[in-house]
Amino acid sequence: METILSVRALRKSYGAFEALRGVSLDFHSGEFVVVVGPSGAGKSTLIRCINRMIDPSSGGIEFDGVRLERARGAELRKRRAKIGMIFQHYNLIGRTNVIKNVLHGRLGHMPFIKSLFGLYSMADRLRAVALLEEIGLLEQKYKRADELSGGQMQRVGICRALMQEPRLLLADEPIASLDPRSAETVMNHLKRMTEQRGICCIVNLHQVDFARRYASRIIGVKSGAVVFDGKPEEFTADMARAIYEGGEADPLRGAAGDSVSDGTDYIEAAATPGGEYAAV
Amino acid sequence: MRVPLSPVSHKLRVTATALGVAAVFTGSAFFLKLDAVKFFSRLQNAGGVLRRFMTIDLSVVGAATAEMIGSLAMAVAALCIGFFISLVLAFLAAGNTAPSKPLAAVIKGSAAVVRAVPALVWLLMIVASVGFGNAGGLFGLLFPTCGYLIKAFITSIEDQGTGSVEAMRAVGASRIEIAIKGVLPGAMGQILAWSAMRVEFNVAESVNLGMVGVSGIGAMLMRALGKYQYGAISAIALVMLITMSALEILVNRLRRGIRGGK
Repeated sequence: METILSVRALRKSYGAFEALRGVSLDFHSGEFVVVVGPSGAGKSTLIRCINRMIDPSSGGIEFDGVRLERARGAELRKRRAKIGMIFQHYNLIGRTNVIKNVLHGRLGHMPFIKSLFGLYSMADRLRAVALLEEIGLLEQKYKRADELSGGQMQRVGICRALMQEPRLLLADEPIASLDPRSAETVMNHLKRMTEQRGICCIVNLHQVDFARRYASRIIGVKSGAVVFDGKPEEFTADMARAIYEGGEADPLRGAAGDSVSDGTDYIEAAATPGGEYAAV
Repeated sequence: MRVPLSPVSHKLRVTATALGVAAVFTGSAFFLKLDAVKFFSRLQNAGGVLRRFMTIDLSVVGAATAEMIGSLAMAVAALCIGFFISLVLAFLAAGNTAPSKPLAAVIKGSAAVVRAVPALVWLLMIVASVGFGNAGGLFGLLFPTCGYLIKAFITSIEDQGTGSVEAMRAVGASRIEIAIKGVLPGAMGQILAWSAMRVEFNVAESVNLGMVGVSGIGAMLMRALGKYQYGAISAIALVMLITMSALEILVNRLRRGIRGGK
């Protein structure tokens, strides 16, 4: 497997708080990596440092043979155009229709004047249509994005990211705001579409059971450091418990106001079918 | 058992506030040495003045309308130029799109200064430095227009949040693409509504502009006032009233249309 992304001694601190404490990882094409860990463990920071949505404090990020941490301006934009990203809150442009949202994935690949007037090439338009058809949203292509359901929005988000023809896809909690059935649909599409294209996909997830089902590799993060890196079958219940134990308070769980008191309960709840959302 | 509907501290606060407001009003009235007796004795003269205003000199209506159109044109021209200047500066200053924090602070600070100084003062300063005439008037109107629109536009842009901006950055879009493709679609409705609102202020200020010596209906009104031509004053005031009312109806329709289109 070809190494597509190398992260070396990556650190990020916010004042006195260290979100990442020297993370070193290699990612390969065709991998479906799921990063698990409690809220505040640094999952989001890690994923956002990779495409420089957040600037790391120190460390190296080598993507496609280029040192991303040194990239600036147009150079950085050119690299970002090769990295797709999917967000927890989808981040579509609500007033804009579905096909235009998908075509936004081309903005980093075209000259400014063309993008300004929306002059997407016919090949791009056809590809957008093909992606929407593949993900089952072709009928919705002229609907405004804010008229879609959450699951549909996230599928548009996947299409937008794939429209970039990325070599790497980052997904930050892509199913955290979805109901169980939509979550499953989104994960299935994400897994299948990235696998077919041989893309390396890094997904942050809250749900350990989803991680076990979909991942080809699981990375456990706790307090800004990697504490597990291996195959899903090696990711034992004990391991999961260790990661979530003593983790920082989870605001989502706190808001739910249920009886989940510590990480142990959380993992057990997540392991039982249908229980995962009661816990989240 | 007594169940108070609000805590005692809350009641105390309300009472204290009411007393405070009363004290401030009394203090202000004493400071101004308001003389009610003199005011009401002089109020008797008002009837005579008002009677003289009751005549309308229809012969000036044509000229007044032409001058009113001039004032309207000045207001709209200042709005159009101010719109684009404000839009660019607002994108540079809004929290979710600003490229640099110091630049954003400079823009926000300058806009606040421009707003803090009354529009009429800006007009007088510009007219004093670049002279009378439409160009000076237009330039003077730009200050209050931009001061207001920059603040309004920044609010509308910041309302769009950071999510869409983040998504656009992630696909490798440039700042201008982020602004146009990522933020404007959501913000445009509000931005147009603010601008429509600003039309009214601009017309009112462009009338003031005439009063400080630039052309327009304000200048005509000043001349009539100077010569005590009550009929002409009434006619000019009437033209202004009709125009402003029509404008308000139009602007409200526009705003409703914009909202409906959302």
